[in-house]
Amino acid sequence: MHDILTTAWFGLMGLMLAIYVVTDGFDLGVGILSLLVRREEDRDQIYAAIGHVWDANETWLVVLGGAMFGAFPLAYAMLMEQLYVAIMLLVAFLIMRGAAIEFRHAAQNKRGWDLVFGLGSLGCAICQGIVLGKVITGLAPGGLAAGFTALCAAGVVAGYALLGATYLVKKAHGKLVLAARRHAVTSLVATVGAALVLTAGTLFSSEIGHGRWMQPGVLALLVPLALLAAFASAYVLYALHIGASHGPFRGAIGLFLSSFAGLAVSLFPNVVPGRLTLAQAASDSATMAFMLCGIALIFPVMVGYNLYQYYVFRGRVSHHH
Amino acid sequence: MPGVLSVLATHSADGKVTGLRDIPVEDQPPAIPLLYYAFRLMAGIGVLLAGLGIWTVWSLRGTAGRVAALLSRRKLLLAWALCIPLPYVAVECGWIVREVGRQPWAVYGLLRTGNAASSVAAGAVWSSMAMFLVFYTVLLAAFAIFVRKWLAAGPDLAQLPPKE
Repeated sequence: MHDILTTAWFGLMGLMLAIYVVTDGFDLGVGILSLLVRREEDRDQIYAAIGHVWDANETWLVVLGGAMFGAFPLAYAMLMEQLYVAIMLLVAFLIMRGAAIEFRHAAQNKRGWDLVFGLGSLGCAICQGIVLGKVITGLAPGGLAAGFTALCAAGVVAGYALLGATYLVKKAHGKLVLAARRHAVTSLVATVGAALVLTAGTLFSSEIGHGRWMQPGVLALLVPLALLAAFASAYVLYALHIGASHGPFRGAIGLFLSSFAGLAVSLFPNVVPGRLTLAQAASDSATMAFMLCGIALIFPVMVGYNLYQYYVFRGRVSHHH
Repeated sequence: MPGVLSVLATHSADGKVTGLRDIPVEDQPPAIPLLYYAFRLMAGIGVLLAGLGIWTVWSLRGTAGRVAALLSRRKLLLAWALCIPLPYVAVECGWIVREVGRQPWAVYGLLRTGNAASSVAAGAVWSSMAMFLVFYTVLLAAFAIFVRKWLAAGPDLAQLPPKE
């Protein structure tokens, strides 16, 4: 029973993390791209594109933290303690990003807040990449792990930039769309490149490579996922080439979700490879079962209102704002 | 009032109430005077604000609840304005009572705060606390500046008020 609950919660947390990464991914992505956008009216469009939805997107991170605290408290304790500086920096950058979005539209000095927004978004992406890299390398010390983590950070920045650029292709108008298409191609190449190097790195420097990937049946799951990711990347390029507006974003989401599934398969049944298994980290069955009842009620509500807000704010950014 | 404290603490009129001196010193919270006065300040503010509410309702008698009738009651309006900081003070006192009063327990009777602490380096903890202090001060200042601008601009007269 405990194993079933543990696996169920692993799946749930993976789902919540995937939803967070895809939704806040484009919020942070447009923030990162705003550093490259020169004209103020184009930056106005960027704020308008995410202004109504960024708040709800960030709430998935909160749910994730709460769920981890309840379902896998030992993992929460270990990761918070070992990655304290990275996580506190992430919090600082999240505060900067959120405050900038809200204060900018009333401010005289919009450029100042634009910088806070852009650097805050960039900082968030870097910190999240550091956390990801540290988890994959099993919190190992040393230069190789540090290099892998730095590359992870770069990969996350590129990936979020891809999500942001394809989102702008869908939502913006005018010159910004043309710039977004260019940025989308650049960030796609950077993301795929980083992903390939990181995959090779995982094979050689992470316990996942030595252990989990060598288990029977795991590669049979991972190879189709890798092919799916490759297909999604190709689709993004194709959709950009034919000038589609929604296609690139959907392709980018496909790339992220297939990579995510691969990560989930690779991590299971560990939380921190080589250090902490799910069974060790999990709460007792009564706690997980109780939480499952709660999340079963809340999850459809959350997904429902998220879908509704995207429906209400569908379509391109308006010309008057 | 005889017996009431026993009923509150032990649900029986002649139950023995555990006093502060019955608890060994190492299990007592620190800064007892702070706890004592903070709690009474919070409760006093609560009573004061309740009294202000009663005075306001009393002043509305015979006016059919029309709040505009209060505009001439200068003393009442001045009292309301002076009481603006009080809820913030009361809330902070409440939190002080709760968080100082719980010491030395993180989970009462089960886990002492000292045993609950992680091994994150003290420097990292201090830095993150400083970060929060700085960030929230900046945000408070920015908020004050923007709110002042909005209040100075006055209400948006282009928007019509709702019909009575």
